[in-house]
Amino acid sequence: MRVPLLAFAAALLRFAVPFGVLAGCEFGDPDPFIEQVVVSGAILAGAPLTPLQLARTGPVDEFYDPNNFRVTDAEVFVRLLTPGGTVEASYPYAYDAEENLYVPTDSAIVLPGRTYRFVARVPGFADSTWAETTVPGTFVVARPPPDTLVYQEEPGGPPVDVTRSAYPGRQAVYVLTVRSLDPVVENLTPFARDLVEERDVNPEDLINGASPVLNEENYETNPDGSLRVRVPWLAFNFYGPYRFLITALDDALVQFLQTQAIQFIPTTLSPGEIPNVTTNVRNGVGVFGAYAQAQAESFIARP
Amino acid sequence: MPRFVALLALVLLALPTRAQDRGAINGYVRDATTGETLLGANVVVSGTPRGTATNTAGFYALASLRPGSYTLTASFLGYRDASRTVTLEPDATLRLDFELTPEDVEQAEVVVEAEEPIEEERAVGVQQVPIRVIQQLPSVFEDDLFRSIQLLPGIKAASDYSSKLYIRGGSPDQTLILLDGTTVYNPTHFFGFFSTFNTDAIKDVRVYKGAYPSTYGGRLGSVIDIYNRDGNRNEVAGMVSLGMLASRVGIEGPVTAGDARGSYMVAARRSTLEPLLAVLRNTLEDDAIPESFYFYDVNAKFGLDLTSRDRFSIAGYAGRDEVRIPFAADAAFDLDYGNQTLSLGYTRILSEAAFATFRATGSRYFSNPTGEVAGTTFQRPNEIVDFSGRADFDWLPNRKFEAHTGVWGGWLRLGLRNVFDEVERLNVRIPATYLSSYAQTVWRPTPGWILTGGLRGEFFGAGDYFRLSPHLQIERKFGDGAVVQLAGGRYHQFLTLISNEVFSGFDVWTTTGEGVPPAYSDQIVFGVKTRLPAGFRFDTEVYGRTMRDLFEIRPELQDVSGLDYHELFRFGEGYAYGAELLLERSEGRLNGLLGYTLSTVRRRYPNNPGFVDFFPPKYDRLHDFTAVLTYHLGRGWSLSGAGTYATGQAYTEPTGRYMVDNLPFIPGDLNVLVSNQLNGQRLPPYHRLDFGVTKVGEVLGADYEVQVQAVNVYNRRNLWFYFLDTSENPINRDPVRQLPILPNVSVTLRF
Repeated sequence: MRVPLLAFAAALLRFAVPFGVLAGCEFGDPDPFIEQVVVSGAILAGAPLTPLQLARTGPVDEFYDPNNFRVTDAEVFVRLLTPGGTVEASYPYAYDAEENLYVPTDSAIVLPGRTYRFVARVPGFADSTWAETTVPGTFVVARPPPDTLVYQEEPGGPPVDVTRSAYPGRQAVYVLTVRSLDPVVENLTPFARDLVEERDVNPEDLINGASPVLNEENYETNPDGSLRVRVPWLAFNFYGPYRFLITALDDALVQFLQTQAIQFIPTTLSPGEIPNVTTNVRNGVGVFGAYAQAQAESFIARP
Repeated sequence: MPRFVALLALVLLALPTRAQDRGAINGYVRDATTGETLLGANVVVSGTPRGTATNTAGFYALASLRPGSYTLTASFLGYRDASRTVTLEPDATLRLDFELTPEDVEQAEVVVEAEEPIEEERAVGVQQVPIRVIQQLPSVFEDDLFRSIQLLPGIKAASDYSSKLYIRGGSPDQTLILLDGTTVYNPTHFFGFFSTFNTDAIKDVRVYKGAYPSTYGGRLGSVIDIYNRDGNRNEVAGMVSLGMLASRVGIEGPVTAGDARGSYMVAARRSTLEPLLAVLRNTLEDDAIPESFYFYDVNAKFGLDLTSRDRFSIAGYAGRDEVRIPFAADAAFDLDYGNQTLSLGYTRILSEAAFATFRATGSRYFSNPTGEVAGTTFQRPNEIVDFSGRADFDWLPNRKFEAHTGVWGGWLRLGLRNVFDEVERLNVRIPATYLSSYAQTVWRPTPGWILTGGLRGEFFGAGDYFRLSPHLQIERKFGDGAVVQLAGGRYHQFLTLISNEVFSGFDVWTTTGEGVPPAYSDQIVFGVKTRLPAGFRFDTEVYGRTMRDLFEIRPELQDVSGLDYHELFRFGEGYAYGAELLLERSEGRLNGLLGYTLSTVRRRYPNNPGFVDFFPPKYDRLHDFTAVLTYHLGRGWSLSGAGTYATGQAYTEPTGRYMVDNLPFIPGDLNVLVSNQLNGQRLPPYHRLDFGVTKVGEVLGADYEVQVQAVNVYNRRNLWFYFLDTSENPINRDPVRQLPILPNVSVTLRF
């Protein structure tokens, strides 16, 4: 028995009509821009409280000058919390028009291992913006790198031995930053020279460099318990003197930096799939973080 | 309880109750010109409701037949029917092999179509893909199996640049890909642009889009079962083909060893890009042009009929891609990846109604991306080695009942290393034994009803997980013209592929483990299949499925050193549902298919900020319409075309932005985008038309085929995604487009 063609066509029409109705429903209106408070800044373990920024987000399709989006009239506090979560001390911040920043009105040293809460009341926004961070443990350079290192001679890059930074519940996580102290074009390394001469890269963009976030387990432990951090040769674009910053991060900075990176380098995500950055800021965006830092210097000689 | 007892009694009645004087007819169905077995060919007993289809070895069995005279007709798509009348003696088993002659397509209008039972041709969710149709379709440089499969309803492509298959809302790793029974882990060439399967070497492809039977397992969504050709059993034959991207050679022929008869087949393909790359490097002086690049694949198969009941075969595949790009002074990137498989097969006709297949298989996927920049090296080798043995038994004792059972066990090792500057940051080596076993029965209580039930038990050693996967299918046939089907099941998956949609060379497989349980999916499919006049068929399927405990490497992870295995993953869930319509004509001068899919898929990862709410993956499309048509003009000329229209893909439209410029350890500004929803907007609709002309004929005693084709004939620059350039202010949204119009010319000689 075969199905008559006409009967089939009628059935097909009945089936197709609802699809046609649905076809109009797939495209939504463009998403509206919603203005939000932006918090940015990080406090340094063992150092006085650092200045912080407050701003507003801007529409993505308009020119964005951060200075035009600064929040200047907020009421800002950073509070030291007890382990139980109650406020132990409160440090008010005031807007500094010259620096375009909020600066602490009292001098207080940031305590490693403790939790701080940022709170801001921004006019025009109903809810307070707040964020919390736990400060990584301080650490120091245990043995500086050699005064002079020949470029690419030492396998793995210049070593810097540091004591360990502690963080509750996990291994320490670092960012390595290098800064050329004599960035003249004549001192470019071969790879960097190729970038400048063949690919129109601005040499000024090669002066500083930072690694992705790196886990403590990457590095070997010395017999005395210190950590041998190596700065890869990839990071050096100039011969000459260099400063290395080794920065241990809190959870807020780790999550913020990692998720900001995949907005532009999407790794395993589909192209065009752009997740929002993970923020510890409530009723706002950005990051209120904490870090500990050590630094060293060395001279990178031509081979 | 009484109902249960009655049901049990019915089942028992259907169990093997072979009457004393009954006999059986069995045998193989083959291509008359080459001797190749035909998989899924129908064999019916004229004047009775009895009928069956050949299994994956080309074998059929009709048991429990009363003594007497019968006319059996064998049929297969693209072949003339063959009928033979035989007399069956009491208690006898009659071996009856069929040889079918390929149909001359230009005379196909007058060929009478066999009246085979419709349910034998099309189980729910199953699509057979004729290789000769694939070879005639316009293609991007090379015939491509997976790109042709992407034209079927319910199957989507991520982009023009990808041959990967997104079937009914599942990602590519949710499809089990088998080549002669061996798992192939990453079947791509050219970083995902092509699939690895050389169509010259393939005999049969079956696509199980969903609710697949218990005879398969280990993947959440679907199965693609590919069988290599055995080779010509009658004469030595060869082919040479020159194409714009690659060239192919093949040879096949008969083998005899004493009384044993068999065949061999070797098909090889290699890219021929080197001259083009050399010219580009010299003229463009662009370091982005690879210093070296090639891919190749080799398929080989040898089979021998040891006796009339026993057959032995060995099949192998090896494919590899290698590229080296020195992209700056003191900087180069190297990628080497590929697959290798080996399969030893032995089939035996155990009795008049029982058939056994034994296989030993080995499969290896490797990927070894390496780079060196300014003296800093990095590597991320990934390897899967999989050795397995399996045995499958088919038992078809009578008209009402058949049973299938089997066991598949093996040892698999996943290796994943991450080495930066010669320091090993990750070294995961996960060995896992696995074992699965299934039982599936088919019960036909009346000529109109077919009930199929199956259960598969699966153990996976990485994490020691044991799972049960049931499957049930109910079919109601209405004459020979329509069948209504309902199927459902639960499926488990112990592996996952971490894939970059842009570039498959970095694909990484991972497994379950401690704290990483297997993913599972519940599926239900409802289908109506009808046969219409003039050789038309119309199929409708509606499906729904869940996806739970999906595990994927967290996309934001920049360093995995020192993390526990479960900390590498994010865990998610999802769902997909849709409806598919397929109007198909497989005979006549004008044939092809019209397909329409209405579908939705959503996913979320509750423990991964940024992905907490359900969102549509990029490959989600509400509407997909496909038309694939071939028209045989006569005198060896034919025209073919493939057109696609689809809803634009999902993408994220950032609405806001800000900058963070006061982190003293981060040079410069950090640009941050803000969006209201992930993948909440749609790209413009996708559409494309491909067109080709084929001329076949004979010259100097050899058959030739010349193809002139154009992909994307009206040069529609479909949008792939927007690249957001933050070096501009305001942020510049650069459209990245898909393939432009591309010509393709190929010449093939067969002798």
